Amino acid sequence: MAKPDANDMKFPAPVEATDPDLLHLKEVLGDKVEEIFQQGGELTCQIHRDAIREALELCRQDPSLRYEMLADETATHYPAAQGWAFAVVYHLTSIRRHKRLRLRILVPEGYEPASAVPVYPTANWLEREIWDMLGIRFQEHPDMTRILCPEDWEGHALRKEYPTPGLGQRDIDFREDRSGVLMRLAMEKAGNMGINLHPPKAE
Amino acid sequence: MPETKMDTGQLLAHSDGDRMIVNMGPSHPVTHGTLHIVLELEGEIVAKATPNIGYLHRGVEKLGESLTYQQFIPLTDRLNYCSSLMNNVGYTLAVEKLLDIQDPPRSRVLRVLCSELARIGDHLVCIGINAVDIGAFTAFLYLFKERETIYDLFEMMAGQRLHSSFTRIGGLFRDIPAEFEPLCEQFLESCPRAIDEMENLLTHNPIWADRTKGVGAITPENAISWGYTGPCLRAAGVAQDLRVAQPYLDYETYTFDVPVGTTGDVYDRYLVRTEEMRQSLRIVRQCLDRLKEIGPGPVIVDDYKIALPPKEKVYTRMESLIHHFKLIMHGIDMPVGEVYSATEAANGELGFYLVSDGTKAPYRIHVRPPCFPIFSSFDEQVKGRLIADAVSVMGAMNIIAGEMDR
Repeated sequence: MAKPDANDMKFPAPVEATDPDLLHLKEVLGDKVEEIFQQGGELTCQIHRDAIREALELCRQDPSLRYEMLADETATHYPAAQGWAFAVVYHLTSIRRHKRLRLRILVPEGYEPASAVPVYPTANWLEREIWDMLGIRFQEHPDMTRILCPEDWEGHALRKEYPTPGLGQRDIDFREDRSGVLMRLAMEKAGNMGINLHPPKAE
Repeated sequence: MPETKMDTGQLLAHSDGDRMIVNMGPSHPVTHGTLHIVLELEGEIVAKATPNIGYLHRGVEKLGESLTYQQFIPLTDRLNYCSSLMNNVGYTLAVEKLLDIQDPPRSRVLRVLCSELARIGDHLVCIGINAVDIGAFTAFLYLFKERETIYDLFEMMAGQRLHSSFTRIGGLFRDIPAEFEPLCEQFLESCPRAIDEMENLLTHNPIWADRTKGVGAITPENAISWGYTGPCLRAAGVAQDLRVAQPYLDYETYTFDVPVGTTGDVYDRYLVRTEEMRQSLRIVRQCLDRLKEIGPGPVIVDDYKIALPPKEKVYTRMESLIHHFKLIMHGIDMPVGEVYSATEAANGELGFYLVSDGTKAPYRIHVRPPCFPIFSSFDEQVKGRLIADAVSVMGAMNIIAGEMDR
């Protein structure tokens, strides 16, 4: 391990929270707040997974917080973590106060966090995307279906065990007439017009 | 047309239960990109619209996890392909925020310059195409002539018209050539004329007003709840512009106004976009003046742990060769942490969420495309309206399938 020298880059290390919003959240939610810190000018508040709905409602309605908009919601897979597998992050924006806040919950495999849709309608598609890409289902979500991949897609692409080339695409066997293209070519060769009636299969 | 004002509940009460299903897309002239909308119709009135997206899903976020930070830049071009330079700038700003560095002053001005040109280009496409969908073809021709000039300028800057990949972490790929400035000055002369020409054709055109006024109207509260950003949010009357609210690239030092609408309908979105183009031209003017003031200088940071050393040094000096090799093979030494950086792209807030574990490739990279939350409100926007209104609403939302599906 090389010794650090003056040329090494400065890390925006997490510092203790001094922002009034984070302190207010800590004060109101008490034990449900697991961790609050600031890093590189960004506010992060880690909340216990059962209290996320309560925290979102507080952030939206509390007169001293007033985070009106859910800018983004996404999740990250940490397969090596002990006791939890995913970090779900909510990026809130306060338009009036020009501020941003990140809420974070740590959820284990199979846990279904409460949906943010009743508080922020924009979470509808964002949570569908999280289900599609990472396989986290949300309780009380109005339409928990896949959004980017087809409904019969296997696996969740942004999990770490999912290979980058894609499932089922590494071992395509061209002898198997998957899309019906070989049959069509054979028909054309025989002088018939070939119309492809096979739906392409995604496996 | 009083029946167009009915909400879905009233509609269902009047209907005999027979609904016609119309598929708009996946490849329909008004979808501008591959997306699919299932419209359930009562006569000519939309009872329900179910968007079905994902046809352009390439797995950009998954690919980013196996590429270095530098290698991801070309993929950002493919997000919003109408204004790829803004995506480049937004992504590099996110990485620079994680690294806690700042690019040189000349590069900052050039980034603002190319972002604003890209914004004009994006708005030109949005308005032009929206007008074509509604039936006003002529405005499109005036606007696309200007867009050609913008693409010529991009070609001079980046060597590419569409997929520019102009920025690098810590600065820019190269400086602008000498021919850039005369053409840009010429563009500053001709673009306002084209915008005036377009306004003559559209703003007081009664057909355009009939097709757009009151269509897709939204209250400020609803717009915020649905995650609207950019021109669509400002048209609803919320003066939220990240260039002013959370300035980046020294935007606070430029003089420009933020246009705001009142009703949030398609007409207001058109007016907001038109005015934003004029304001962007003002910023471009200031950028050109500042470039003269700053004079020639570096456009990328002088830190070979982040940016590649110049080629002549690599060929002649051992140290530079080592830096080049280390940077290509092992990438940048990244700090551990997570960062969310948002910029005001042409469509709205373009956010990049990066999680770094200290290795050369990001552990997780997430793109927050502006039109994804906006399009999720499509059903609300067109419910109880005519099928023709769905077309104008979709055009004014400026759905770019490339960034929506990623």
